[in-house]
Amino acid sequence: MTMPVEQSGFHIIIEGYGAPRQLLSNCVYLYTVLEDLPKVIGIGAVTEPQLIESGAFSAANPGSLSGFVMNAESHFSFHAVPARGYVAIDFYTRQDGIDRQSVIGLLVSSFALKDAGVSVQNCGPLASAQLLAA
Amino acid sequence: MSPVEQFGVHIMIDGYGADEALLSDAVYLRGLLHTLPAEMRMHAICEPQLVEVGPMNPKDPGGLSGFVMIAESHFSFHTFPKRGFVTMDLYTCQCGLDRPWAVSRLKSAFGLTDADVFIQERGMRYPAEDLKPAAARAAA
Repeated sequence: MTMPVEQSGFHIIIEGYGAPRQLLSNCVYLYTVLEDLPKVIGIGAVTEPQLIESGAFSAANPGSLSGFVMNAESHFSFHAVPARGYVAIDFYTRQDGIDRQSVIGLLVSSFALKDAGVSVQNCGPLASAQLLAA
Repeated sequence: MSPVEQFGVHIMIDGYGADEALLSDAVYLRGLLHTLPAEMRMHAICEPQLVEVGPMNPKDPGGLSGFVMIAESHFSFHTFPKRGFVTMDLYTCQCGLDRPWAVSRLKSAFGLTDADVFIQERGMRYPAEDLKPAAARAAA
């Protein structure tokens, strides 16, 4: 017998280009984005946001700021390289009823992207619509 | 046109058939957050976080969420023990990562009997040089 399954969640991946260097270097602003964006979308955070500045690691990376906040069974993260005007964004949620286009629009505008590559990955299905233990 | 280069790869796995006890084992899962990035020659830049999340809705009977930030990248997972399900992602700037090995290591770490694996190339138009400030560009 096949267990019932259900699709649940999606993962938005954005390659953001042409963002203002000053914005991508602004720790106060970036922390606010981590704090506020999930709320605006209607998702509850389960941890405090984390924002970490890293020095140069390689020729490709002259220094970056990485941000992350864990939401209920999902997360929002970014990795910004201000000197290259680049930010890699991930927004993953398993919550129903979230409008993907609205989220993409918010993310693109929050980072003032001039250009962006957007991918959306559907996640799941969950292993079963019923508890395996039931 | 300015030169560009790729900036990383993102592995996403939806894992099925994992053991409920393993997906509930906070000590084991916290250990993975410490050891897996190091095994893959990645540099953690924060202490791993592991959070137990209660039931949210009929689809989500609760589980554990883990995360560790790596230089320019991250490793995270969300477990659903009562469904034998875990969803995870490993994002790294190491374009040369041995992907089959990494996928196999992640699947074995969570004891998956079945998995959907998605691999996304990242930053395909990443500038290979620092951008000049606007004023310098205008003067050039």
